[in-house]
Amino acid sequence: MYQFPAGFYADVRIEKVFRSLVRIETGRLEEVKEKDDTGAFIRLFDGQRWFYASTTDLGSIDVELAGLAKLGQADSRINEHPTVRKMQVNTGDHCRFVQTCVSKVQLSEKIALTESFADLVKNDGQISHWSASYSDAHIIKQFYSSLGANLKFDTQTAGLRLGFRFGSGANVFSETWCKAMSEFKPLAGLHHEAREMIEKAREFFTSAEKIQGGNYTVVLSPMAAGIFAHESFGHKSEADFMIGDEGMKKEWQLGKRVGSELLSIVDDGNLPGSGFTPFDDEGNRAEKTMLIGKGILRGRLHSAATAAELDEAATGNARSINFEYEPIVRMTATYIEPGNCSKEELIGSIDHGILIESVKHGSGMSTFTLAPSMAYLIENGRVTRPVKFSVITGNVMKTLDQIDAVSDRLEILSFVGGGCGKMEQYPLPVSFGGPYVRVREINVQ
Amino acid sequence: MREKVTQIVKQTSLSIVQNEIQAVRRKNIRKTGCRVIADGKIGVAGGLGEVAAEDLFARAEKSLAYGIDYEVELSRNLQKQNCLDSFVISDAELCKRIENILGEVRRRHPEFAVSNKVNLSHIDFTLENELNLKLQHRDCYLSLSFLLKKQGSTGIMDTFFGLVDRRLEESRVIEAVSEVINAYNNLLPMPEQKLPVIISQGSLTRLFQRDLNGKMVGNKASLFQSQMGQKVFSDRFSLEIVRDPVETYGPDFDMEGTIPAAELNWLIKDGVILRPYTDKKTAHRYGFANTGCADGNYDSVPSLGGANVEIPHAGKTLAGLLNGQPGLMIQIASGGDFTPDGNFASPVQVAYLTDGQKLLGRVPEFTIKGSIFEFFGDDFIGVSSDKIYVNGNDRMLVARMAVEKL
Repeated sequence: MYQFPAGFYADVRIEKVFRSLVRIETGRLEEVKEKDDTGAFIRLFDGQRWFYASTTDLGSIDVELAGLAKLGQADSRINEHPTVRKMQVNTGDHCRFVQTCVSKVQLSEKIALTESFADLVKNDGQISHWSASYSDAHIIKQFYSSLGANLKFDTQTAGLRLGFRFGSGANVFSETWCKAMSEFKPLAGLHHEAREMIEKAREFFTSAEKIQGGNYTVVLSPMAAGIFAHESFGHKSEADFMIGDEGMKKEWQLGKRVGSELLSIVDDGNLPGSGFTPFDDEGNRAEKTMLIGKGILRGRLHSAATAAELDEAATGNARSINFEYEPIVRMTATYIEPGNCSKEELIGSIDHGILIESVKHGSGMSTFTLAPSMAYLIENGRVTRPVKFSVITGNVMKTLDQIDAVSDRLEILSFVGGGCGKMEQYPLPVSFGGPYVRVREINVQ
Repeated sequence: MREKVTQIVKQTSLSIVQNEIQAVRRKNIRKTGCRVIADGKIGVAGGLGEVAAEDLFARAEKSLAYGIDYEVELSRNLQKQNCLDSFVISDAELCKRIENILGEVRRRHPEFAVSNKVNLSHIDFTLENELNLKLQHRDCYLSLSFLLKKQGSTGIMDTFFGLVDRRLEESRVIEAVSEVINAYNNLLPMPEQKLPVIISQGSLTRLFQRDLNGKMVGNKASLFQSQMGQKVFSDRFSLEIVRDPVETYGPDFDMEGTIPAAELNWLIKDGVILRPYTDKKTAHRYGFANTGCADGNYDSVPSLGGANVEIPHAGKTLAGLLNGQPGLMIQIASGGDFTPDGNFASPVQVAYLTDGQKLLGRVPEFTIKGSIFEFFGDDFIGVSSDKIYVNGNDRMLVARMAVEKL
């Protein structure tokens, strides 16, 4: 056990990381990498200020702790500090991927799997550029605190990414198929799904037409709904943005109506996939947090410090991208909860609208945008033809209120090769999703 | 043949919440990457902390078996050292001076809260090989990122001040933050007349990152495929790869140790598209010139990344380019994108009216639209010769574009 200095709260997070990567580009194997890294992040709190250090020398942790203690001022009552009281004292070994660890899979198998997906796009006369990559990560975290936490848990993702570009000159269309799982084996059964996406993209490339801008009823696919939930509302639920701002606290008071009564948004680190975070980087257990329940603001995402500041329960959302960074309030798996109508019913009542199937990127401050990749016109209750435009945009709060139908099947999407960015910390693995969501009066540009 | 990459980052990072330093983080991380190149193949391995290079070379040699092609000439016979690390400040002094800035901003603007980060970074990066190549880049700089939020507003932030510099000019930072906040507080109606738009270069040059990428051009997948060697843009528009470490805060060599001849930095000259940007492998594979744009992590196979490009200015200041009329300076435009055929649209969340010398006030949210061929064609006005301190100390792009109220 470490020598935690008296009069301070302190914790140590040790990360043992295995990663591998295989990348094939336009028929050539470009990269094969396998690596093991270990590092530690050390935190010390004196009741006024936090002091952090990160190191790759695990033998120096006690020295680092002593060094940080010299920067602060000891307080014998530190354990009564509201922030420290929000730190759980979890213990035990909660690793669940030891048996199925991706480090046990030979690199040759990973290369063969990647090649089998590359086969779907290579020698395709319409595809001018493509890449296929496999990547995985198995991360074991050990967490120790001056309060007695002594915890070990792991997370794991293994996934494939297939990027392809049809055409040349001004007539080009790029699309990506990406999927992550918690284990290696199930990836071998995804060729059909990837092939379907390639053919959809081919049809889009050959027949999509520009559409007139204006206001449309828009149906968001689970991917589009998930990105919307993450970018437009999820980030606003991260409580660190409210610290010290009385106006913000009043504006975001729990119990306030913030959207249509058909809308419920949840964040839950317990869900398998790329957002899986059973404990956060302060050792607190992941909670299923209802952010919006039937249009009413029900909760928000917390670290120990923000939970103490707002006198709410910690939610297990203090996360960092790796051992070089401190945990800050982040999402895990964020999704819109399903409703009651079928996808067909949801689309069937639209005379003239748009279905957004896949999305290149999204953003959300007071105004949100989603840049679609593949979108389709809906005419007289049927999806008719592919259409292209730059972005959909609108006021976030108004849009939350304009949701008038939510389909009955939830889909959570997991990814590799990217993630969420906040401040200096990018990329953090997250997942997101939802059902199909219908929104009235969205501006299409 | 062996190559080694060593990257040492020492950093002090201050976390700011409500105008106060909430946390101090120190890190000192060494990363070592080793490459073995033999018979046209490359193997790589890397490690963190104090690792034995011989062990990494042995692992890299073993990974040659994967058969990753690397049929290029290694850089050789060049020794160079960039030392830009003369900025010295202790952590205690840094905290004190940042606290002074935050305190003064609070005194002047009690209705605004400052949050986010100040990072002091010492970078030491070395690339060396057995062919007498040793390139080293040492730098020390400060990154200020202030999210500015008005009390009572419901957003995550309202406006922003950011800067990277090799010095800390407290009074200049305070004045710039004040100018931004004062302009934010002065909400003006959107002017009726069509005004030039002032925007960061990267917002619009990012299409060239995608479509002048050597692999895209080599595979005939670029938007500019049929226009290589042709005049496509305004006579006054050029695009060059910038390498000056003083300006870029990065090394002047790439991850393969290439420092190309100056003329190869031009991707577009006087409106004519000259060449795509490349690394050694891409240049060799498709028969292009190597423009020295190899990228990658310390322990990766070097591969084509992005190009650090700039539009050269023609000697006119921002005020000179505006020529007596005001312009709309975009500060936050999040969520925009180009379509594959080069059309662009973006919402603009925060923009200021400026005469080129100071910010006059904030305008309501709007959208901008246009095409890459228009922005850098008939609608191209120029790039400012002066760096605009209130907007990240960058030279700003000025162009005419369609502006629509939201």
